[in-house]
Amino acid sequence: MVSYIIRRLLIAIPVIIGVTIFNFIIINLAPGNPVEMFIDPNTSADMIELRKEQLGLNDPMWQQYLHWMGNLLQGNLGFSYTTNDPVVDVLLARIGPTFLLMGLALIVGLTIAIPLGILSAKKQYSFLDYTTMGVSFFGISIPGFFLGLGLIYIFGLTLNWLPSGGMFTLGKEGDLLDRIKHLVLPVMVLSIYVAGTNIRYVRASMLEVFGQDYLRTARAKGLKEYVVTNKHAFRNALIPIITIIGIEVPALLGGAVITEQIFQWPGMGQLTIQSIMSRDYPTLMAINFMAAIMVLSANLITDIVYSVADPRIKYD
Amino acid sequence: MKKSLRFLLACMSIFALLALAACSNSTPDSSKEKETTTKTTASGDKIMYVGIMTPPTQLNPINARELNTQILSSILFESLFDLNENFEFLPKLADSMETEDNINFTVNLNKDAKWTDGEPFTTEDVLFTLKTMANPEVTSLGLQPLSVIEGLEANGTLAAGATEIAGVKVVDEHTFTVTTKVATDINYLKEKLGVDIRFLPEHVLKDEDPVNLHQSEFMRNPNVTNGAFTFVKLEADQYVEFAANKEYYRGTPKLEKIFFKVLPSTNLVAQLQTGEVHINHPGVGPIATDDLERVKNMSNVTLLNGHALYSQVVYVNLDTVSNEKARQALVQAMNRDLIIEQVQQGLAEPSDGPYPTGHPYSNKEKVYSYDPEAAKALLEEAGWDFGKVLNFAVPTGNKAREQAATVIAENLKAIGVQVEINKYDLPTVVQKGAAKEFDLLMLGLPFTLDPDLSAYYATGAPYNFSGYSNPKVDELFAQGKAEADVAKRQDIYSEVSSILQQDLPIIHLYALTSPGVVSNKVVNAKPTDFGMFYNIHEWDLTE
Repeated sequence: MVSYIIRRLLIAIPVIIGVTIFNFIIINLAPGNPVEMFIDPNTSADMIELRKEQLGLNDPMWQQYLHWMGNLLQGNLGFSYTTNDPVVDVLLARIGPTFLLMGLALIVGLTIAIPLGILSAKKQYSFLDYTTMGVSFFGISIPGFFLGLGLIYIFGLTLNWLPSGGMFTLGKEGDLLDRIKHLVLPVMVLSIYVAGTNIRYVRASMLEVFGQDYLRTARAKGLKEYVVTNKHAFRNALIPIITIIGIEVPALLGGAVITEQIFQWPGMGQLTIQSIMSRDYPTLMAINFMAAIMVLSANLITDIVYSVADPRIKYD
Repeated sequence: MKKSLRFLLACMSIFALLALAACSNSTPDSSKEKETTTKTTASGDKIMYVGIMTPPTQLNPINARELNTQILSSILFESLFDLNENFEFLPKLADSMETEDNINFTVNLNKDAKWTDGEPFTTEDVLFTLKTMANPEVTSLGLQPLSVIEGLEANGTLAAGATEIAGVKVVDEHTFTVTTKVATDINYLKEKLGVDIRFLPEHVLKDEDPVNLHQSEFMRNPNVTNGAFTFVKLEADQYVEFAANKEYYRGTPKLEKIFFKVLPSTNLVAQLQTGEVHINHPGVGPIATDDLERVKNMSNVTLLNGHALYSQVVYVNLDTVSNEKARQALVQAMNRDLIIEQVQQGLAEPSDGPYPTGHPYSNKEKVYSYDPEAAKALLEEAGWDFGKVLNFAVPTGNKAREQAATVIAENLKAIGVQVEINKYDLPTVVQKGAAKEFDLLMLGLPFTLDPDLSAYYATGAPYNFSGYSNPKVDELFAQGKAEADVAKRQDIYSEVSSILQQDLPIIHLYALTSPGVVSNKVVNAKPTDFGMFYNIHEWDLTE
């Protein structure tokens, strides 16, 4: 297992290099450049040239990439072109809110999806099953931005129960209840998506296991039904679900981009959109680099959890 | 592998995920946050909330690239003068600027002005700031508009090797003189030197490396300032917090704190209604046109209309639409009144010529009106190729502008001109403009009080996307810049206006007014595009 993890980490290095090269090319191919973005109409052409020179934008692309990589190896992600803050500080300030949002959405979503999926499978073709499937279909198919705007309209503007955006009320940074209120709507949007997709996987996976011989054996041994369902069946059904969740974590990051934008949630999503709009290359590269690491670690963690859920799986 | 080891690893990985999720609560700032909370709640009552839409990225006073940074940093770092909404100059760090020959100018600073660390604000700070901005190595907006000053190159930098600006001399601690290369309108200097430039504390920054000045700790957390409020915190995308500068030279502010709150425009109106926001800034916190009716019906706020200042224009590529008559036909085909009424909800005025109707140099005669029949006739006369499809580049992000572009495209189709709208984000549109990859290109132009528009019309100028080149216009712009007499300047720019209205390299559609909304609890503050913060130390709230 340990050697497997080390092997996986070593494979991750060329993958990350590949991803960053690819991103670097794409970012540089986008029309417009950061210098033209900052410039006031009165700036002379040679001033623009000078700024480009200072930022190294006139160097060939491969040289710029090597420069970036060289800095990265020394732990330096550079300075943001728009705020002039070190990119590390910019990212650190944004990662927390995003993980909070994603983490909660995952927890809430799975807390809804797992029991409902199991119940739905147990009572296949019942009213409960149909209702659950209907709700899950809604969760998968409704676009996040639409749901978000709808929730803002209902709970924020019409009923005035919940704040419509931001992380906390200004001047109330320490108020826990206030922070929770601000979390409700964005977490709801993301967790409805998580729940929607996972209910179906849990249900399908459980149904498959229910048909297996070993469950009949377990029942024949006289085991109680909840032990059969929750221990024997669920454990086996869990394996494909873990894979799905592993894939979902990065997808959730994508969903958070839009959700954060709608709810003015100051996380990675908003930062990404702004960096794209202002062609802030160093920040964009850092975001992509981080996203690559997140995807790879989510996969690795999935594999580890996998082997715990199913001791038959060995990586050695 | 042992089961226990597997379990341990699994626990560790889950823990890692949870730890990542939890670290949001322990970001480095959390302890600081707590501190500010107690302070805010303790001082309680006099806190004003100002609504803005676009978040400022930084508060660097010499490199404010977007309007928001310019506006917010001007509260911390003052200028010599301020402009009020009627375009009059009001004294701030300077008491006066005087000249007898329009070549030598004397500026007297306010003797009471001082930095928040107690040091006086002096001519040394002025000189230091100007030299820093003129240094090509320093990342700043530069002094291009001040290239009329003796000793500065045409692009506003110091010549290689020079360390002093020949035209700026210190007389004493509170007096300095400026010498220009040619006679210059004093209002030009009052705007470009007096209003646009904000000053840095020499005693704090003199040892900083100029090359990395923009990335210095001071620029990120400006802690020595000279405005009525001091900087507390900039939380990206959320808010900027300012606290009263009790030692402010023009009087102790009445408010304890001011928060600039970043909100989407729908929330802005909702929060004005609930009282969570007291006032908007019309320039960076505009009220969406769709919400105006709602605001008018709210009893706790007052709606104010501003001047029509911000031009929406269509650049015409002169290589592809080379016939002047064809361009005149395009203007007459555009139903600007309809756009103003329907899309802009009446919050705009049609502009004829390069100076918007709210501009002091605007010549208010009407040149073109909506007349599709005349447009068609002109096109025929120009021998227009009706098979040609015009590529109309439109920036995304401003819904009203995108809708206006659709109306324009329909208008043009009605007279037989084929148009294809292509929408891009702003940087792409700017690049397409510079590379002349368009036939028509829509853009909003910023307002400048000075009538010099050579950046858009002079031969080879950076924002001259149309490729316009008219020696007469180039000459008039040069003359206008060097003319000190206001009446003569007016004549020069009127002539520029009428030439440009004939040649039409850029079609000026209309100028937008930005409405302001202010809560009835607010005392002394008024949302205006210019000079809104001049009396910020007198702003107050009633119960």
